[in-house]
Amino acid sequence: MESESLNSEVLAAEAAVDAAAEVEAETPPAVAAGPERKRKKGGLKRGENLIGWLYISPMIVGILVFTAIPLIMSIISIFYHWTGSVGLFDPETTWVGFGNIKSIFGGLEAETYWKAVLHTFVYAIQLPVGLVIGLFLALAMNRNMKGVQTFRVLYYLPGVMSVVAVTIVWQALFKGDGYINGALGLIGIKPFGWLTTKVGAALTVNLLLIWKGVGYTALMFVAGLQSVSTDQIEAAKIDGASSWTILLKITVPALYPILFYLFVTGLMGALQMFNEPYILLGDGYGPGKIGMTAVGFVYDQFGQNDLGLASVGAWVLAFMIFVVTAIQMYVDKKREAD
Amino acid sequence: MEEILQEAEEREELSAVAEGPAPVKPKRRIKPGLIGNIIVTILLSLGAVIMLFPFLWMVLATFKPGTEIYSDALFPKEWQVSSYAEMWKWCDRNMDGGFIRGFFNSVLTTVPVVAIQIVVSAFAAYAFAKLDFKGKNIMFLLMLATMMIPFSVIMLPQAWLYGQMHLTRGPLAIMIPKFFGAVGTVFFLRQFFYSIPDSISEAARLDGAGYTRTFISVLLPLVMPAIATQAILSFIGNWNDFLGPMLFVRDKHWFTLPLLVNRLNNGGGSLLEVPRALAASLISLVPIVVVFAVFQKKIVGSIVFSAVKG
Repeated sequence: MESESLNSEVLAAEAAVDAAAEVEAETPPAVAAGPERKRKKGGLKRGENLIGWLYISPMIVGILVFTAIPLIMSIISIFYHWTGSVGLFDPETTWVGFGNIKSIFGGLEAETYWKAVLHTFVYAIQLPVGLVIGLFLALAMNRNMKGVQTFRVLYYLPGVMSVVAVTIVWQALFKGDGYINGALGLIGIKPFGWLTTKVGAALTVNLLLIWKGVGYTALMFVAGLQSVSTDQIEAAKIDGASSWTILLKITVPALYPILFYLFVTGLMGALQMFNEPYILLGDGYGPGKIGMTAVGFVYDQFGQNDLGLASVGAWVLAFMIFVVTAIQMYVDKKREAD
Repeated sequence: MEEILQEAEEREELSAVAEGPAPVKPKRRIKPGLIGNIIVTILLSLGAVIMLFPFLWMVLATFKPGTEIYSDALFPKEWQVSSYAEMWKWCDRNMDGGFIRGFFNSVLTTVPVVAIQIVVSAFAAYAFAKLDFKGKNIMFLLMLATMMIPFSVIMLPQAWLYGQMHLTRGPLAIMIPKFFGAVGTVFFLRQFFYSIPDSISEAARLDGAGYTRTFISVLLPLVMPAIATQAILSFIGNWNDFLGPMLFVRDKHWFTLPLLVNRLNNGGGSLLEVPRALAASLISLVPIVVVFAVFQKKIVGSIVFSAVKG
């Protein structure tokens, strides 16, 4: 569900945006075509209704049972002290009104929660860095030379690997007496607390995320580069523009839609960060609880038996994600209109 | 035009952007752009070493004795397989059923799940793309809406709900919900069904085939490549999934490999734990490496596809 299923998730998210536009575009013609189709197919219409519903019914049942019900429970639980050991409507589950909300906004849990949100953003620093590295990688991988295909695959490899497995490797590598400090020692750098200081942990997680994600970013940019206009670049060359100018004035603007898409989907993924810091820093969340992200806070309430508080934390996070989605939809619509 | 291109290529690596599909080049004494290509190849190779180094270190580390694992030597002084033996023994002692059991659990919760999920999703995708029925648009919007809900909002109520359904004692909590299809897959496949002209299915219908028959024997073969891509991506995602199984599988007898490996690692404290966790991690990566090696073109292609669409 997390960044591991990056591909399918990204594809899905992307398809969803497409579909949203499509539904809008599609609805009026469908209505208009209604009577005509009916005439054409005549008596089959009722059969089509039945078959259509039959085919989508598992999907709909699944959504109602496994998404809609938990969703409603999540909303209701905001107002309850719900331990999760009994039902939401059990007498033991007590009404707290705005108690949980107050707790997050300025109350008992505020410090823990907002620190977790801050940590989440600390782990998002890798996003712009990864985009820049990915762009340069893509420019290199877009050359017409032997072996680029191999490079594209190799750089992407860490992205499909089990997050648990690769994070454990990073943990072993970045340990105080691990290989990285050993190697740094050879060039005279003192051992650094990669996992035992807050800065070190933030750095290690960010590096891990860049390492995992940069191949995917590069591949997306490579695909985008195929559509950059060659005429424009040649014209600029004849005019004596430097390669740097061409990159900044022609190539990057042409890649803007993909850049924006990668940034938005990357941000949504980053806001839901959990796996890497949690596995790397463990159940104790590391120094200063730096490993606890917003999702980590929600997860932690599972052990603390406070599902109502978890719901508030999750909904604040969801609200941030909705804002990002809204901005994306607005920008996409504006671009389409232009 | 070609000459300009060649010249440009020589001048600076970035100009390769302009090239697009490779032009057919006549034979020349010195290949233009060769120097740039060599430099870029060297740089990309250095980068590839960084990308692959953790895997290389990991493989070598599993053959080191525990005391050597934190040394700055890359290769083991003395090759040995005690990490694997230790890991195996630990699993036998602590995971009732052993490592094999964890592997089996991972296979059980991915292969059949992905198969059923894809079939169910394909039917829904076909209905949304090609059939005309009442309430279609509303149902489609409903699905669209569920994609907006972050997992963190529903994960704890889900965990409670699955507990009530007695699913968390076994592997069923990470299997049954997926039998009802995946919204993302439905959207993805729907695009492909959309691109098939109506005339094809109508021809089949005129020949007397019913909806189901038309779907299975005419349309399904046409979208098979897309279905295969989705199945591969879904397999990788399910195999690697961590947070879901951690919340929904409460009995260690049913731990999947990521859960087992994480338990083995135990926060990465001691010299005893790390080598055996690395050994188990390495084995857990093998199926993904195999799938990736076999289907790399498809996987990379799906990214290019999404980029072009996006």
